[in-house]
Amino acid sequence: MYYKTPNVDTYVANVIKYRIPVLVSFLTFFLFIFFTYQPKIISSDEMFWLKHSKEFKKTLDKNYETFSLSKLQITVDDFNPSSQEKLHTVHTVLSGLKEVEQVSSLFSEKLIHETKQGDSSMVGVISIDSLQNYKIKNLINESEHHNSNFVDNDFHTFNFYILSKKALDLSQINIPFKYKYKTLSHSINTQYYLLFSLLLIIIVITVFRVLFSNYISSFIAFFVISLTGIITFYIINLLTGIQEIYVAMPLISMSIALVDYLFFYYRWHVSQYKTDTNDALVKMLNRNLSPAFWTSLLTTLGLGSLVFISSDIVKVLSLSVIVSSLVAYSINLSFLPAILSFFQLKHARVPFNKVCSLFASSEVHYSKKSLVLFLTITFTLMSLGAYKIYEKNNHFFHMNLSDEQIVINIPYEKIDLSFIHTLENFSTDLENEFPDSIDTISKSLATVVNNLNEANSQTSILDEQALEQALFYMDLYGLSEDYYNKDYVKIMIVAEDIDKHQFIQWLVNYKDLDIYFIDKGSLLNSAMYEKTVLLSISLLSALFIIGLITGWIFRSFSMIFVGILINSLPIVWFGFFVKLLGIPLSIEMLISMTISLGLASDATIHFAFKYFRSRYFGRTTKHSLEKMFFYSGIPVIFGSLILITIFFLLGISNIEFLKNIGFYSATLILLSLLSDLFILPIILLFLDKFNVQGTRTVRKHNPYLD
Amino acid sequence: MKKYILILFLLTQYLLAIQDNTTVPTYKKTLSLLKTLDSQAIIMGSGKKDIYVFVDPLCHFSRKFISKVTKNDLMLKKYKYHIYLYGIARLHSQEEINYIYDAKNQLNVLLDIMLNDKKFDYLLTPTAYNQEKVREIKNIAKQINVNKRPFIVISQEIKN
Repeated sequence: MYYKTPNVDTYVANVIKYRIPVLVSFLTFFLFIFFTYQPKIISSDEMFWLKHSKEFKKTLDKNYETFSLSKLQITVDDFNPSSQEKLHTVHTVLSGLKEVEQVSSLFSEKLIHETKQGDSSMVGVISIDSLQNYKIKNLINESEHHNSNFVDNDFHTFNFYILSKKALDLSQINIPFKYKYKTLSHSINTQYYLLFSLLLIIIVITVFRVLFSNYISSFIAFFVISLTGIITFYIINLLTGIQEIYVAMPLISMSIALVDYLFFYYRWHVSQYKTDTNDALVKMLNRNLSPAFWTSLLTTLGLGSLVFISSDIVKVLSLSVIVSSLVAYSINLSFLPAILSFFQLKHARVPFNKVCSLFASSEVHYSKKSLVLFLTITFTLMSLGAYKIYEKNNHFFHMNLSDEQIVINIPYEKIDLSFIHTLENFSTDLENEFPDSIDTISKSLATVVNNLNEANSQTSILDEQALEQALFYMDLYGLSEDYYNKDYVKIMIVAEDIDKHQFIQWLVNYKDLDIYFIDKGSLLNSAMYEKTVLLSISLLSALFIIGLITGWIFRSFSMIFVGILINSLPIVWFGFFVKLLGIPLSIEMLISMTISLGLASDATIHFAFKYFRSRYFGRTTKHSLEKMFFYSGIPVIFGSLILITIFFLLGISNIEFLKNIGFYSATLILLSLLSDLFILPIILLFLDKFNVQGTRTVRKHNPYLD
Repeated sequence: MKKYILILFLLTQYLLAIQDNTTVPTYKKTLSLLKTLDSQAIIMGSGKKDIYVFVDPLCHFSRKFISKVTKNDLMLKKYKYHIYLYGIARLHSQEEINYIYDAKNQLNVLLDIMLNDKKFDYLLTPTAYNQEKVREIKNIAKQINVNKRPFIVISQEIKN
């Protein structure tokens, strides 16, 4: 319980006595892992997601090659003969790249027509690009199915959809216009890793220098973070056999290790002010031993159930939080006191007393009405979110995307009328299912066959002979390879403003055709969708487990709600804001929520421990709040600020996936910090039984107080 | 009123009767008719799929067709072209047709005329054999309703 102060004197004495062996043991263990454990640091997490994907396995079993589908969007001031020529050159250069399988743009579009002179006529296919500039404009403007996916109505924006073996580096290509390149690549290069690590080091050194007026705190922080990270990954490898280190794992481990370290180091730092080094070590341990133990247990039991889910990605994410938390706890109890015992600080003062007083005095007279209103709104939003997740409401997982392309393969035995009609029915079904999103399938064998037949005056209805002729003209004009090969037909679907999850699920469940996704985007989307639902349900359950354990730790029914509320508050409000902004729930959000949950549960326990402890020993509410802010608030504030900055830096990277994790995590940690500073203290005041009784006096002088 | 209905009925019957006369024979019938012309065909390409093509050596689109096919190796390997010369009245190509059919290497002369626009001495009087050949082609062409040039019929069979 919070009022008990564990006696760690002997333990500290032993750690000091054996500090060299302790440090050598850690160093040896570190070196042992370093040389024996060879993790696969994956520069791309695509395979991680796709590992257990049914659709990916199906595509692989069929020996179909998978491709990356990216979009290059070029903006021109004026579409004239000169810019047309330049855009044509870009298309040609892109098509000629070794990795590129196919480029679809206005400049690859073909016009099928029949030219006639009396009783002499022939089906012709010309490239739209070969027309004069004004004719292209007229043709597109007059076209019944204006294909806005390739060009906008004003002829300023041109889209090039690139199907390639890997994501392209367009910096090598001369594109004489402004452009945006959207790729699905999750690849991170070593240079980026190094730059990010360097920034991380600079931020930690700067913040620790400002806070603690020394450098040793940041150097020890690096030791603790590195040790936690490497031991965590090693244990996860031992437990699961998964060798790959997924890109979010170091971020989770670093966040948890840093905040845990701050609680311990900070207490050691401020405790030197009055006492000697050894006493500071004792205070560091006996004040943090219990809350840190409970936070680790909370994380383990809360997220523990996720480990048993048969998904590598969910398993490693939850294990990263759990193992990091346990490892960081062990390191802070052994390695940290051993190394800190070598140091004594000259400037132990931390200049934040006034800030803590300000917080305490402004919050002590809170408005109960406002609190009840806020809690009611939060619980309503939370219940609504929970209901929607449990209902697996598709709208909640909406992933509205514009100009989205999907490439599928459909195997065939024979291209005959029956097969063409099946493809036609597929198009009709698709257009009926998504009437506002899909006007026409941009590239389908059935479409081109029908277009050729319409243009062929020798044939009328599409019969076997008409089909033969259409296929012949496809060969004659070199169209065949864009649409089919000897085993399968390739279909490209362009959708406007569509819910991609729903779209992909519809394709997966389509019965009349055997559909294989060959673009990694769709495969990833299909794999991530399954995990998104799974992870969100698991996280929701974890929140309730965390609440129950919090209640048990403080032996208080009300604390169950505090545990649930404070941990879910950032997630609920974050969810509300992203829903308002129309951003769909994604796996990146859930990863960020996992990080946020790991950190928020730490803060709840530390805050509540400190507050109730001070109250138990007779401090006034205001004084208890001051103590709570000073001993628990400052590490949380600085830890959160460092993490917000780090994740924000991650958010300005050019890798979509990391960018999202960065921004979402930074936002969630900020919300978490705000709730720790402004909501949690008020709820603690609201639940304060000592206040109601008003009779408790200062307990007998406790030497461990503060 | 009855009179008008009767006239309308008779007109409809008349039009349907005309339509019946010009009905295209079935694919099977077309192919069997074309097979009777096998010996008259100028063969181009070595593919497994037979294509029967009616061309006029002076027709712009027939020339375009031959040009596109000959420039594309794949089209010559995938298909076997049975070329029949069938003139369009307005183009007055009878002399060229006779000259090609009279030549020793009919394909080369056909390509010379159609692709290189080569002029020959066309004053040769058509032989009786050539006249018969042209007549036969014309006869089949009418039966299968060859109404334009190039006119193509593709066999669905793939030879081994």
